Order: sequence, then C-alpha cells, then structure tokens
Amino acid sequence: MPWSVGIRFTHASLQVLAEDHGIDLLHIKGPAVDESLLEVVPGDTPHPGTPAKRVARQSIDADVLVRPHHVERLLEVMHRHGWTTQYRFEDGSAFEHAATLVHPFLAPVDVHRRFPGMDAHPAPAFERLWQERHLVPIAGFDCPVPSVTAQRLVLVLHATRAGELEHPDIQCSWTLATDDERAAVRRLAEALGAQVALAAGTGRLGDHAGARGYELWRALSTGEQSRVRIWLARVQAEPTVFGALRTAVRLIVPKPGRMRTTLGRRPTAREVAAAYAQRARWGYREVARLVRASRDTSRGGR
Amino acid sequence: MTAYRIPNRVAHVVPDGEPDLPEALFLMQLPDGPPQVLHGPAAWIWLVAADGEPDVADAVAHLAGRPRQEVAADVEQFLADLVSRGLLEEAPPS
Repeated sequence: MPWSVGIRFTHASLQVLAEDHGIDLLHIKGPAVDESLLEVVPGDTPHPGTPAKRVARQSIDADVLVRPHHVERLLEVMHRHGWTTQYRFEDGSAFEHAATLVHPFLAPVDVHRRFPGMDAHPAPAFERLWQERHLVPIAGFDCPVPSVTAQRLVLVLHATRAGELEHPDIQCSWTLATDDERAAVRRLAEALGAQVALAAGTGRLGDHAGARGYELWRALSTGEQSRVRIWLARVQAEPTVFGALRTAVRLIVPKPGRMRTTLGRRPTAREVAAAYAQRARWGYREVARLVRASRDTSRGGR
Repeated sequence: MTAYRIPNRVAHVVPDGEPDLPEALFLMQLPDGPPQVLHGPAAWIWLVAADGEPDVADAVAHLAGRPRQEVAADVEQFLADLVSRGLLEEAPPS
C-alpha cells in the first residue's frame, strides 16, 4: 500500500474513533492542508506549456491536534484499536508536544497536545482553532481541519522550528500570501501567543529581541546544532520558574522510549545510566566549548 | 436497476498520480480495516457504483469498450460480492 494511502487511512480511522468517543481533534499538515497552500510546480519539462500543478505534501506520518482534555481518552481508545505508543510526549522533541503511535498496517501518527510556537495555554488555543474549523474529506471521510489562516500559521511555525526558512510551506503560506492574508495570520498568532515564532519564520524576529522565546526561536530558525544552546534557549522560554526547572531536567535526561526504539528492546538499567553519563559529558563538553568561544570572542573584541 | 452508495464507514483512496481511469483503488472499513485494494476494472466498477450510476454494467462496458451484454453478468456478480463484503451498499429507491 502506498505510504500516502496509509496516511489518509490513518486520518480517517482516527476521526471515526474520535467521533465514537466524543473526542475533539483537528487534522493538520499532510492531506489536511488546503489545496491553495500546496506547492505549485511547472508542468512536465519535456512538454513546455503543460499547466502547472499543485503537489501533494509528502509526509512520513499523520498529524492530529487533540483537545488537551481529550488526549488521555484518545490514547486509551487508540491502544484498544491496535495502536502502540512508540514515543511518549516526554520522549519526543524539546517541546514535549506530541506522542508518536504506530499501528500494524496504518501509517504512524503524531498526536499533538499543543503546537510548538503557540505559547498560549493549550486549552484555549485549541478552542480558538476548533471554533474556526471546517470539514474536508480525507479518504472520503469528513475530517475537521483548522481554518486556512490557522493552517498558514501551523505550516510556517513547523518549517521554522526545523530551521527551514526557505521551505515551500513558508513560500506558499506567507511569502505568496496577500497583505490581508498575512494580517489575518498575524492576528491569529497574537491570539495564540505565536508572535515570536511567526516572526522568526518571516524575517522579523529582530522586532522581538529580548522577548521570552526570542533566543529559542533564533536558535531553532537558524538551524542551531548545539544541544546546549537549544537547551538554554528552551529553558529561558519557559514562562515560570517551575516550568523552566522541569524543562531543564527533562531536556538533559535520556529518553527511554527513544532508547527502546534504537535498541529494539527495553534498555537495561545499566544502559540508561550510561546514557545519563554520556549526556552529562555532552553537556559538559559543549558548555566548556561555548564558554571558551565566548571568552575568545570577548577578548578579540577588546 | 440497482443504485449503490458508499457505506458510512468505508474509506477510499485513489493513490496520488493515478490516471483519470485509475489502476488501483484502496478501501478500508473504519476504524480497524484491514485495507483492501481493487485493481483495474474492479476499481472502475466500485467507482462507478459509488458515484450512484444506476446502470453500472452499462457504464463499465463503455469504459472498457465492450458490449454491455459481454460484461453485465460479471459486473452484477462483482457488485453483489462488494455488497456482501460491506464495501458498497444498495441505495434506497429515490
């Protein structure tokens, strides 16, 4: 079965489970993206004049954003229908925003409990997106998706987080948008606390220098490779001290779910301990390198 | 003549890049499947029937460039098979 077919079936299957169990979820990215936001490529080169066509987004998994209060219910229902959690929220990205579930014959799915870059509280943020949803058929089944404006924001934030500022999604969702469409995206970003992340993806991050999240999105949007720099930026972006402490701890501990996938089995206590030690060494070496680089820079500037 | 329709919980996908007359069609009963595939004329029969065409045999014969009487029996038998598998259902008379 082609991968793209499996992804569509995953969306449709999850929508049925959601409807059967009173779960609100929005389908995002992949086949849920509005056709007007798809990349346009010229027609076949051997035949000049062939009409340009829109290209379906290539995805490796399905993505859904779930009402935060419904996340646990969805995961429980999915587990009863053959899905297995591959990565828990804590095993995922620095944002801990999504869990990955796999199925014997459907495409994997990332279940998002929030979307990175949207700093508003996840529950009202979801409600805002939910209020402006509409239905699109995926695999012939009506699935709720965010408004086209919200889709623009999601695609820009996603590409920005990956440091891909030249990504076609940013071109189609922002660069080629009209002034009115951009203004609508800015208004929505303001409502969702996504101004800094949006600015990072659209060349205006400098307007937010010093704001919470500035360093994080500067690091992400420039493809920062240093784990320590991203850790520090992520910690600085937390709105509360408790959140910052928790993030710091989470980010530097090894992730057993990831280790289990890499090893193909549950890691032993010794392997987890060794991973802790390795992470600590990575952190120490990078911190030391950053300190040296910073010191050399300041000496050179004198 | 019997008209057909897609059951509420049957998902269907024609893969990206397929020609107007697709070579393959994937179906799945939601939410648990498993997925199934129909190839060539089998896919055409499902698509024509799902579109509500009242004389499926006639439409498929036209697509295949064959006389209706040559394909009608096979088409009707296949439609009955699709209904028994839950991949199509008979539409109520309008």
